[in-house]
Amino acid sequence: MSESEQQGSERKGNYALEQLKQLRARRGAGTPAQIERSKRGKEMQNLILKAIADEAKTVPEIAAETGLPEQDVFWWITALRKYSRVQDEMKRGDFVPYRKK
Amino acid sequence: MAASTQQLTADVLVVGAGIAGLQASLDLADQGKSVVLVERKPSIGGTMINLSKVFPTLDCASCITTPRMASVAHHANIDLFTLSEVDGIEKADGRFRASITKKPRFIEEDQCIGCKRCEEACTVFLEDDFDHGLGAKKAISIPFTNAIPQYPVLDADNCLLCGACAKACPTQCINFLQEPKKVEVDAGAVILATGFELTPMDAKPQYGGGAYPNVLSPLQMERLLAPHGPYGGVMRPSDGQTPSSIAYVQCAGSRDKSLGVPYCSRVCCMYAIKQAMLLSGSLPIADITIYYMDIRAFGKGYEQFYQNAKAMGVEFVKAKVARISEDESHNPILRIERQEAGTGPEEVQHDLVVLSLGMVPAWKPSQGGLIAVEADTDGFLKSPSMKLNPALTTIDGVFAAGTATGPKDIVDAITDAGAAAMAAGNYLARTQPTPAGHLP
Ligand SMILES: Cc1cc2nc3c(=O)[nH]c(=O)nc-3n(C[C@H](O)[C@H](O)[C@H](O)COP(=O)(O)OP(=O)(O)OC[C@H]3O[C@@H](n4cnc5c(N)ncnc54)[C@H](O)[C@@H]3O)c2cc1C
Ligand code: SF4
Repeated sequence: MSESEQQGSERKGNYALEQLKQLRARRGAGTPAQIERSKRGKEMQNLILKAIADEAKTVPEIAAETGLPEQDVFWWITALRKYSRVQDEMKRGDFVPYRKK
Repeated sequence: MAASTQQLTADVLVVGAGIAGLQASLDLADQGKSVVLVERKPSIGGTMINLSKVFPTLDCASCITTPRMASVAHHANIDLFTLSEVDGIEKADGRFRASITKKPRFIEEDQCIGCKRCEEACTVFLEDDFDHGLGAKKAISIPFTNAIPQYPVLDADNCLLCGACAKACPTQCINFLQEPKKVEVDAGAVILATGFELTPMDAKPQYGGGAYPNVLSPLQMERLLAPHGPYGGVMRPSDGQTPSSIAYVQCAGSRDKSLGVPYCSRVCCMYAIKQAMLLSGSLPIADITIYYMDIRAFGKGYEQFYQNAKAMGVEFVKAKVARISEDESHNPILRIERQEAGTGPEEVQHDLVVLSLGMVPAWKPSQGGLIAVEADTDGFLKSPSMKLNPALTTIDGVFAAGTATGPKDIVDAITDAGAAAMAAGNYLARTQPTPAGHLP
């Protein structure tokens, strides 16, 4: 454990919880639009990850299966790929198939 | 004055940490001058760190920018402030007093080890500004892989206060209640290296006003061509398809009085040619077309670069692009008018289109803030001696470097920075008391 990590675990307590409590009281945990956006985002992630859990699929294939717009599917694939939840497979024609990691 | 205001004295205050501000700071610091460098973004590097490769050498942009960024960050004579705004600079008794606001990252920087565990834990996905919206980031994130400094920034406006980041952080350094900090700098001279922005994508409604997913800005294409770009290759944002036909529309934001940009932005021909060459390399079977009115290959080796692009098969079509629309599959359709006798308007379909946007100043004196220097008729900073001393501004002791004074490429921005650093050094020698033991 590094020196900073050591100090961090010594400081551990409910400092962040206290701060978050104060902020939630002051401004709430996001606007209704932000909360809705986050909920919708989670739904889309789940649908996409389910579609590519067992088999790698291209963006048009995922869109056809989930009913989501191709552009949204690709944006979420990009996001999930960046955070190592999705991996690329060998290109098929003009499209890359993606699989859940 | 608030008790917590940090006070600093420096020889030179440099505003803007793009390549020009970095170079001016290094040139001064290497000569023993103390520098305070202020950057409004969370990382230094400006536009150059956002590029894929650079014309005309095709060097990897991040490979040549990162070492310079690191030299600045580690230089003993440079105090660096990122995510900081200069609220105003006043000149009194031959010195400059600047007030700066350091915005909160909501991280205790001295405790953060840059491990990214907060970013991994965060559940809020946002559009990544470094990838110009093509990729994603989290509400708490390190701005990009080789950002300097390597600290995350919490986007407080979009944070849903779930606390996942704080739970994941091994050093407990997230501070949700962090406040802005005030810094006051007393400097002998100032260099403005505030750089440029691109004309907005929605400036031309006839080109779709930024609404078509497969009509990109040139910086978006830089990110697609970059080794760690958002898609891992060049693909269409609408569906992830590898494009087989890509077009560039030149002068899409310059030489147009209706946009208030009557001048030529100088670098757009060259960056379009560079991107076309890089695309030919990464998509060998794709057709690449550049619609242009004039090609301006102004610098050393640039004409040869243009000829090389032609030899590689990039098609240059002398035509005006009157309008862009899209079909139901988001394929952009260009209505073009060839500049050849006997041809009428025609419609051409491509898979992907890049608008070669123009350059406008990132900070205009008419916006206020910073300092009351004068702007030229084009909005960029005015030099009273453009031919003989382009680094001068209309205030004695305030100098300008890089694209703050007008559109230019990296070579010219760096040369400019050296000139501004030298001019500031001369000014200090003339106006500031000589430290004991030094020759006047
Ligand atoms: C798509 C594209 C591709 C290009 N490719 C090439 C290429 O291959 N080769 C080449 O030679 N040139 C290229 N260029 C041009 C090159 O990007 C510029 O010449 C160079 O980046 C200019 O650097 P700069 O430091 O002047 O400005 P910038 O890079 O704009 O840096 C200015 C910095 O100042 C900061 N700033 C602005 N206002 C303030 C303020 N008020 N307070 C604090 N900070 C502030 C900004 O955040 C920024 O970090 C390209 C340009 C584009 C658009
Ligand atoms: S988890 Fe903590 S230490 Fe790691 S990068 Fe995030 S803020 Fe810094």
